[in-house]
Amino acid sequence: MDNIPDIDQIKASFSNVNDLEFIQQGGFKAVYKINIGNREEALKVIFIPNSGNEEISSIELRLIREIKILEELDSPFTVKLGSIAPEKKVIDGHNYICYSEEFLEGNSVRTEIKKNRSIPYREIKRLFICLLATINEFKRIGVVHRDIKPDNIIKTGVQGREYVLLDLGLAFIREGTNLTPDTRAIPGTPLYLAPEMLKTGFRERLNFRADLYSAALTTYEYAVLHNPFENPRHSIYQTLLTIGSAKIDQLENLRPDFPAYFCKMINQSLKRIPAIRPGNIDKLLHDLEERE
Amino acid sequence: MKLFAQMGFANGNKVSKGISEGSIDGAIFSIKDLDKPQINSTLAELYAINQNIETFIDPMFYTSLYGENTSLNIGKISSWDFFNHYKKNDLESEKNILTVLSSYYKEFKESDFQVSGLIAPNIYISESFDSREAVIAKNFIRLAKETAIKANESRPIFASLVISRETLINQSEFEEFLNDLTEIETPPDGFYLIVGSRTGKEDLYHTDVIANWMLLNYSLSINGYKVINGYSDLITPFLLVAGGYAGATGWWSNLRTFTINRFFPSSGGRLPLLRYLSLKLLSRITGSELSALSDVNIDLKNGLSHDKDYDPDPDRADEVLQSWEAISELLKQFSNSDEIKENLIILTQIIQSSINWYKIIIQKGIILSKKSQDNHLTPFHEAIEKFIKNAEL
Repeated sequence: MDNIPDIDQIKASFSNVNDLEFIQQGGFKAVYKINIGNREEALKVIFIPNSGNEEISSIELRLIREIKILEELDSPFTVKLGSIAPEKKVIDGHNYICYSEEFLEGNSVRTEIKKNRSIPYREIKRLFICLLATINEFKRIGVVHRDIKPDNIIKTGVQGREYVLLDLGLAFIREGTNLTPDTRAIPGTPLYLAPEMLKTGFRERLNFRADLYSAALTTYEYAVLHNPFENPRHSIYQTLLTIGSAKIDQLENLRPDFPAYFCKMINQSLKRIPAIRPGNIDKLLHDLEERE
Repeated sequence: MKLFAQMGFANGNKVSKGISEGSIDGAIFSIKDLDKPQINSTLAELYAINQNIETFIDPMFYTSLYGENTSLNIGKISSWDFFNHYKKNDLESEKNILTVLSSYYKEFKESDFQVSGLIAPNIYISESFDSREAVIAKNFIRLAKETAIKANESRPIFASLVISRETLINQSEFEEFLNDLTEIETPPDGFYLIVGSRTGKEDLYHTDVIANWMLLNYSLSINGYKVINGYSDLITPFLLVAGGYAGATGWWSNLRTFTINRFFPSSGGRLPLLRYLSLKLLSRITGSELSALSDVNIDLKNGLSHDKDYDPDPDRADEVLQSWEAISELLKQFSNSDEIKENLIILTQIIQSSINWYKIIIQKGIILSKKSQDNHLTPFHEAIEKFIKNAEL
């Protein structure tokens, strides 16, 4: 992120905030851990460039949309808004929008994968249940997340919300207006893109099955500790080509210790044609809760 | 895996016999050919033989857009109050679709048909999934269950999806339509699926048509729908292996393959020759061919009870009993589990065996008539390969 404010500048802008600690940055956003009213939260500081181009309004609009979606969501498996409502700040002559979310203790699923330790079935299954429940909630309010991936999921260790999905910055409201200036641009992270998002005019037909695919791929990666499409020698173009054509090794071949029904569910959710992925999320959840 | 009788005008006792013999599991009635009292009395007769059969009535609303053609023959369909001839413009209005559906359910209830489920009306998509017809058809499907609930109809609702073979061939349009079909807010309980031919069964024996017909069954079953395939005849095993619930076939050739031409006067001609369905060839051959092959020690009979009817030939009305018996026997070779891959291997082996039988026939120097030759086997084989590729199995 350009023009990242330093800790002292942030402190000066928020009189009620203590114990500021920088966590991470990316794109137009920096994240700090803060203490506010004896509660830990994540302060998000989003840089708004000063030029008068269209991109400025799209950043603000996307942010407004993300917050609106977070307010509507009722799932324990998505991050909650914190006590600082979105407000515009001018820090060192630059424009920012700042707001807070709950602070979640724990590692991202990406960090867990990088440990390269075999993860037990019950953990893998729990992740998939949390993601499916979240997708069902997105479906209820007419939203497609479009960026479900290991980096955006925190393993909290808290019973009832073991895995929590972050970052709805790319979430897409199915009946809403398009906020990506170039309609040909593909939002999301290439390795986790649902194959239908590679087709022209995909927005008109995008639905929860794109999230189901990314959730299944994330779960698959968590189980086998690698993304089947990842190849360090591949360009983005080659990666996208692989997503659109390569056959994924069936989960049961890599994790023979997993129940067959679960492997089948993941394999089916990873099909390239959306209509042959399972369409009834409630049924998937029911089967997962009922069976081993 | 179930096989139903695709019923036409000749009521007779074929269906009763088929049910008694256990070669069919139910029947789909044609409202063009039987009036309401005939349907009710036949239903009573069939249920008296076996209470566990499944029965349905095809509302044949797919003829509704052809009213401008004066030669259209809709038979007894016109005696139903719900039925009218429409133009596409009329059916672009959701209000008119709701009228058709609700009046059909009302009339159905008043007629007191004791059937297993209701097939909801729909139009025929004649050219493409990217067409006005397809939009209208999707609306019929979308509203089928919702309207039934409002009409207090609690039996399972099967939305009709009646399409020409051409609609199945454009892959991207087909996949998009599938996507829409499997994302309905108030979904029906199942689908009554018909694929229409232009010229007879030959043009349905096409790699892309069979592969996508299979994919349609696969997708709908994955999404929890029961799929009943009308007029599926020998393609039935392909569709049921892919996840379909039932197939259907009837006596005359126009009940084995659907064509909208069935509702127009035929060009005449002789009655077709009686044909024996040989499971070894996955095809029908004439009694004289069967006998000629037997003379050179090639036994193509199925070893089933209706084989004896072809000594020399059965009554025309009994031809279908041998067909039902053979297809039913063929279906028994597959596992009833949802292990698609396992069943596809069995199906591939059956086709390979047919290829070998044809080789033996050629080696013996016997030349079969055009309709009895092996032209069906290449599309059968390729369709399985294409389906496996598209379904990523």
